[in-house]
Amino acid sequence: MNVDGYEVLEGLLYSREHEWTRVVSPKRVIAGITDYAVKLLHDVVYVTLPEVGSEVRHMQVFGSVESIKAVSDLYSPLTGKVLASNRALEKTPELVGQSPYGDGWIIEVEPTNLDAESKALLNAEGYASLIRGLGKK
Amino acid sequence: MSSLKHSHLYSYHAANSRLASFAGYDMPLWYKGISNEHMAVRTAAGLFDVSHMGRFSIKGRDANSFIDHMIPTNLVKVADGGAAYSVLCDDNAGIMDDILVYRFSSDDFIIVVNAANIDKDYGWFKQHLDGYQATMIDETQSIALLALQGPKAKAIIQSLTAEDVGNIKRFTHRRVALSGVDALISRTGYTGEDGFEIFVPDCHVSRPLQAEKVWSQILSDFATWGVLPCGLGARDTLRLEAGLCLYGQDIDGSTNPFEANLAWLVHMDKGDFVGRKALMELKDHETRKRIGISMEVGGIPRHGCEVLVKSEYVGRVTSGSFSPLLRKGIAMGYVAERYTGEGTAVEVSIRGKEWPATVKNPPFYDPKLYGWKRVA
Repeated sequence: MNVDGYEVLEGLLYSREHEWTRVVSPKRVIAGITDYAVKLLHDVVYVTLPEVGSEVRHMQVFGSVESIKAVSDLYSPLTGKVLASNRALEKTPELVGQSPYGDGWIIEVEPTNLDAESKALLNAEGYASLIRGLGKK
Repeated sequence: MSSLKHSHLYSYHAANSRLASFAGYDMPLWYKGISNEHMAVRTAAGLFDVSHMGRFSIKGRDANSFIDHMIPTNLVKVADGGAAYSVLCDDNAGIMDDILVYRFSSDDFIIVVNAANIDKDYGWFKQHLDGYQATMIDETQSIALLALQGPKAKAIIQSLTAEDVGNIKRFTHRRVALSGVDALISRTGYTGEDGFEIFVPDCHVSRPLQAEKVWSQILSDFATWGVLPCGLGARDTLRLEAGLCLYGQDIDGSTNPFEANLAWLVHMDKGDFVGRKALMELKDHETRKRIGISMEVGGIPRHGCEVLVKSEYVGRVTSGSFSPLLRKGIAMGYVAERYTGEGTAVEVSIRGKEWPATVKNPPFYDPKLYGWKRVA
């Protein structure tokens, strides 16, 4: 759905820090940053990715995305082990901007506390209201 | 609500750009995007509103000797219709601001200062004005200031006026009619490219019609040439690629002109001037120097990052960014004297990780391909 000009996909989970999570299976989730985050950052020129096999923690910093002007932290929506990180972003970080929910994905994680932690995340409707609220500020 | 000041082209910015607060002004950060705007300036031309910068007019019999007393640079080489870059130094030789001095005649000057320093500089000049037959007026509100920068800037300016602008050499200026608007055009800028700064006098910020006319004419008539309006984001990446200082980051009250690599502005033999005594003591005693740093791979250096050699601290980044032209991280910073040689291998610590980099004398781009010295 389109929310004030920002694309929000149904069926994903969202953090208040503008990361999305797609639960592929209980043992495999994919995460990235939302279209809103991308449009706010503009010009994504660099992405710092975690090592495969490393641990990421629920709402803890695991990497960063940089625009020309600024650095933004990436927060992991879930705790778990990194199964893959999107190495294509090292050469073409602009994929994040071009396709935030597709080729611009950032990490794939094997979650260890999916049920509890996903309750702290928003569904598409909840995230849409969050963006609408930010737009009114 | 917002108490931010507005520049002359504010209505355009508000409708067309992502705004950001800068030095008390609500200014455009970018319109279409920093990379696009940056590349427009390197390959065609970009138009900037720089009306946030301070403009002081200094007039009177002693105007020349007064300004000469305030800066370390000898004004003798600046003829009528000429301009000079210089700095204001405090009594300890700390840099209070970097400025441009425009001379019309020995009793008529305009000084352009950084937006963040308008009040400080005005007070500093006033404080030294006693005994000089000169008056000073802050004209920031009543003169608009635009900049058209890039390899196509000259051809664009030429098509807007009957005057031959080809003989307005770098660091000179002339009063011309620009699309019918009375303007002062100066072959100066802050991007490394050829270009002009355009002063529109008698154009108060509350009635900016004349400035808007020049602005919109350039943008509409030359859009097909690739001309874009440019915000402060591109202005920052352009000046960094060219190796030009940003006051408050690369130079400030804690840096002196020698370590800032601005010794060429200091003419000790010209007679007394403000800061001379302190500069005399500092000369040839600098322990660190401003350099350019080019990243080999990876991270983007930012203001405050540490510069290391074999993991030992040797200095700090003062400005750093992604270079839209070179597609990698570049920076300026200060390092200990013995690591300032071009080609010296250093590391920059970025968010806890050390990345290899090389000392590079700016500009960062190939001056045969980009910048005002480019081979046509």
